[in-house]
Amino acid sequence: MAKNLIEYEKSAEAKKWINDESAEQEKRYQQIVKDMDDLSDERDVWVEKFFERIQTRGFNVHYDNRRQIPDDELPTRPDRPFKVVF
Amino acid sequence: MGRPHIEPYVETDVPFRRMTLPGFGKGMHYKVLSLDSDTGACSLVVKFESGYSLPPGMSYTEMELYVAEGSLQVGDKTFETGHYVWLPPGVSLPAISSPNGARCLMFYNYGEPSFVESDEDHPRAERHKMVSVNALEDIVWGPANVSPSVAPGCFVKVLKFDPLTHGFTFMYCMTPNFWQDNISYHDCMEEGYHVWGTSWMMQFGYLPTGGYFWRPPWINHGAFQSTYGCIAIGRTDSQLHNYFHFNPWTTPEENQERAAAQLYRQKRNLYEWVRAQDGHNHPHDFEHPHYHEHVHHDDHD
Repeated sequence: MAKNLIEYEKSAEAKKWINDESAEQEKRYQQIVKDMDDLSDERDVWVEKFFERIQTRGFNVHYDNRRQIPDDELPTRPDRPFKVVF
Repeated sequence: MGRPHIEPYVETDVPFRRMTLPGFGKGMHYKVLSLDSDTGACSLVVKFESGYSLPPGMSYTEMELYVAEGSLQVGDKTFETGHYVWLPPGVSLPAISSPNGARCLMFYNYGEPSFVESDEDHPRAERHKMVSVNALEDIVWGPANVSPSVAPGCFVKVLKFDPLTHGFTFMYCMTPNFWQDNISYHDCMEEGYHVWGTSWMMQFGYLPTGGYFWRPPWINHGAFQSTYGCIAIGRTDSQLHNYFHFNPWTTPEENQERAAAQLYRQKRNLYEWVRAQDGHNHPHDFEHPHYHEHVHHDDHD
């Protein structure tokens, strides 16, 4: 098996560093979730324009192959929050 | 819990912190881009002050380094801007110094940043796997060699490729006025950092210079656009396959189901064998017998 790590004992400093940075990361994550929620209205407009483009210019199937998507293939928005961060 | 979905994150206005982990000495500062809370594996932006120096030494975990600005003197070699290194664990690098300072990306893939002073390799080190290349000067841009493919105008330079997992580290660029009108997701992790320029994705908006993402599998991203182009460094942990579609509202669970359905259509014999219910399919690679997985279905029930 590929040797990606040589086993070692984590130092107390290393454990503290991981804990401290994990706490900071959790704050960053929560800020990202909020920022992405704040973008919801603008994103809805982007989605409308995306649907316009894939019906006219076409959907990128592979490299420069495009397909115009007919009306009856467009998805309908489900009744649940539109999440983009998981 | 591994690393969470960090997307988008722009580090340019975030202050550096002084590196306090043992061994790294004074004059090294960092920002965490993403971190595995269990192992300490992380992706960092690192600033080396002018005059920084480090004796010969090794890391317990494999490490990747990209010089984004400035230069590093590593033994008798100079790593200029654009230099990329993949360092297997236990491989000793000669003394490092930064006479005029440098700004780097550093990826510690299986544990927290570690440095052990040593002018010899660890007995388990696999030096023959080391990669050291100037990504800007030594490799040419080529089309992304995947199918289905990204749209014309997205080019790639492969920096490191793992023949076992097909995970890879790469530079990618979008040419000015790049458009790709589809939504993509992958069955692998994907990470990216904008070295220069701005791109746009329908879910996350604009990602400028210094923009970053760590994206777990199955998460929608795209459509894609770049007005003036961008250059970025990217990484995956296994083979990258583009699952394209045009439904912006699907969940990771729905995307995962769809990927499995595609696997059934496209690799039906393999799919049927892997999911065999007799509990005795033991994937064994005759080329790599130690990369063996002994999986019983009961283990997952």
